[in-house]
This record gives sequence, structure tokens and C-alpha cells, in this order.
Amino acid sequence: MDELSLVGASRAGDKSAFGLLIDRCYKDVYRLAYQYTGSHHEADDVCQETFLRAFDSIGKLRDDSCFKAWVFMIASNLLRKRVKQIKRERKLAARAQGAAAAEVAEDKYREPFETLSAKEKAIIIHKELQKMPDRVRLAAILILMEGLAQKDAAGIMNCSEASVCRQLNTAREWLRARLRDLI
Amino acid sequence: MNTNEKKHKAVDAILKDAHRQIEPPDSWEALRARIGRRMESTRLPCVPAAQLDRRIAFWRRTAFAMAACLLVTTGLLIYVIGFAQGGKAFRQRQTATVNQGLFSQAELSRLSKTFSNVRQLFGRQLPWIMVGSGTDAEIGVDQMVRPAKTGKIIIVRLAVNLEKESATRRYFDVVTFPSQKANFQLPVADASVMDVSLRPILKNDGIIAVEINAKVGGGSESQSIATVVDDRFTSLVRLRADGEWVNIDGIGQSMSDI
Repeated sequence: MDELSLVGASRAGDKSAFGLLIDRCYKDVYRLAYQYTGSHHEADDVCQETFLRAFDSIGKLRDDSCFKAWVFMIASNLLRKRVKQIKRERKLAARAQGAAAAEVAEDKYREPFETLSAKEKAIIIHKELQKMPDRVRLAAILILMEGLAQKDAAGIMNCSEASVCRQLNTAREWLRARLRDLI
Repeated sequence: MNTNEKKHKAVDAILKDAHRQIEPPDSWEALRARIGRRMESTRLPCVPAAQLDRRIAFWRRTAFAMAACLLVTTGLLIYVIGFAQGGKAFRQRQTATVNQGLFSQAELSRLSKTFSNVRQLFGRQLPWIMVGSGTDAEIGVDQMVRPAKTGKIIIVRLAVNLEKESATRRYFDVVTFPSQKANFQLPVADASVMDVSLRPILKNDGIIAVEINAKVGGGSESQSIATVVDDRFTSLVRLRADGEWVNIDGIGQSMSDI
């Protein structure tokens, strides 16, 4: 079945059709959530919540051919809220403990990039992504990692294409600067 | 392709590759199973209004708005018409009540004649009479005050009514000389009697003022001075008798002494 008919069936309440739609994009939603939050636990929660909301409000989907972008939009909204909440909680925790979070030593990653395994590279990049501003990070994940068009990313982030383009350039410069010793 | 673009491509490739490496701590299957379990427990998707054709939704909302407007307008119209009719009926009832019991010429003549006869009986003394609509009647004299205008008499009609729907008005006519005090008793409720002291005053411009003091046997007492006319009852006093409110209204007219 193609995506259009799956969306139509899901709208009529067919959970198995919606399950097939989940199969097509749940990995991407999970990766997006993990790159944005930096936590597997949060990513898991957001991923489940995203599909629940998508199923509940699938009637609001106007363009049936944009299911994945629409799911990403739901996920992005959830992620923004979740990250705000996490930051607030961390601030409170730091105040309570009276100590700043320990810095993770990065020296062990100062090896030639080619010699690292794919997983190790992923960890380094993920750590660099976590240091980016939220919107820049989201633009980088959506466009550079998920391969979405700038127009679609602008729709998901609820901003103009020009703004997305600026954020993307910022992300590239940031990564180049951070990874110049490794590339 | 310049160096910059090459570097961009290299970074993009590394990022994509790194992104693909991300997976849940357990496995993708476990995550899919968790999502499936959450989905199992959810209800069917709701169909919001936005999903409907926008034109249908627009017309439906317009119809609702118009129906609401029509309902409100109809309600207002009914209220206004009902109020107007009710008000009219109320005013008619009120006018009828107010006009009920006014002096007729025959009554005035009869009272004037009666008073003239009574006066002849008392010689130089100054009498007053009270004649009720039933069998109640009293005659008295007041020697304390000599009326300034003995050529005139004042006829005051008192309307006594209890403030309950079934009660009917009872009328009592009092004829005196101006400024002459009349003390008499009026029956009010089943067993109560009201002591009334009444002194009509005729002013130079022909206006009649009534000074009244009413007291029920139990102790409730009220007094006032009010101007009365002959075409509309004026409220004089209000007091309680046997647990009921009693109103005394009055009209007055001066006449030449026969």
C-alpha cells in the first residue's frame, strides 16, 4: 500500500494501516529525538508520544503526501517543550546540589577520525550537537542528517526558509570548527 | 567543486553516517513493540471540524450563528411584547383600582345633607360624622378647636385594605369642619379594631391636608400628614394588624356647609 492510502485508512481508524506508517518513520523520529534531547530515555518517550498524537489528530493532516514531515513537526513541538523542561529541571538540580555538572573529558576523542569506529564518531558528533543552540541543532538534524528540504524544515520549525538557511550555515560552521582536527 | 563545498560535503556525509548509527539501547524491535503497546491502548482518532470540507464547516457555523441570532431576537420580541401587554394590563388594573371608590356626586350630596342634619342636633357644638360602607358609623364632637372656616366642610374618604390578594377594600367617609379632629374606630382584621385620629386641614389655596394617627389594639401605630385630592387615593399610613399589613389611603374634598 502506498502512503496516501495508508493515511486514508488510518484516518478511518485502521490501526494496522497506521502501524505500517509507524514502521516507515519511527526510526527517523527516534534519531531526531535523541539528537535533540541527548537522552535515549527522553527520545523513547517522545517517540511514543509523537505517534500517539499523530494517530489522535490524523484528521488534521491536510496534505496526505506529507505524513513524515507532519510527524516530524509533532515531534519537534514535543521536543522543544521537553528540552525546556529538562533545562529547567537541570538548573534546579544544579542549584540544589550547589555544584555544576561535571565536564566530560574529551581528550580521548583526540585521535585521528578515520581510526574511530562509526559508533565512536556518532558519539563525538552527538556531543558537539548538544552544544549547539536549540534551533540551530534542529535545523542541522532535519536537513543535514534526515535529508529534508529546507522548505520542509521551515514548515516543521515554523519559520522562513531564509531563517532555516542561516541556521544551517551556522550549524555547518560550528561543526567544521569543532571537527577540523578530526576531518 | 571548491574546497569549501568539499568540506561541507565531507561534514554532511559524516553527520549522516553518524546519524544512522543511532539506535535505542535495547533494539529497534523493542522500541517498535513499545510504540505498538501504547497504540493498542489508545482510542480511535477523533475527526475534527478542520477535517471537514471548509465550505461545509463555514456554512454550518453561519447557520448556527444565524439560528442563535434568531433565537435571541425572538426571545427579545416575546419579552418586549409580553412586557408591553403585561404593563398595559397592569396599568389598566391599577387605574381601575385607583379610580375605584372615588366620590360620586350623589354620595357627596348625601353626606353633606346628613352632616347638616347632625349639626342641627348639636346646636353650637361642632360635630363630626364617620359613615362606613357597612354598618359602621360614629358621631362625635370636638370642642377643643374652633374651626376657622365654619362655612366649609371637608369630606374625607378612607380606603382600608389588607395586603393580601383576597382582601377587599372597605371605605369610611368622615365629614368634619376644617381643622376639626375626629376620633373613631375602624374594624381592620377579623378581631382587631384600629383607633384613628383624623384632622383634615383646609389650606388657603384650597388644598386639603390630612393629619392622621392610627393605632391597632396590639400596639402597632403610625402617623402622617399628607395632602389628598379628590380624583386619586393617596397613601396615608401603613401598619400591622393581626400579622397582616394594613394600608389606609385617602381622598378628600371640601364643600360648602349647607
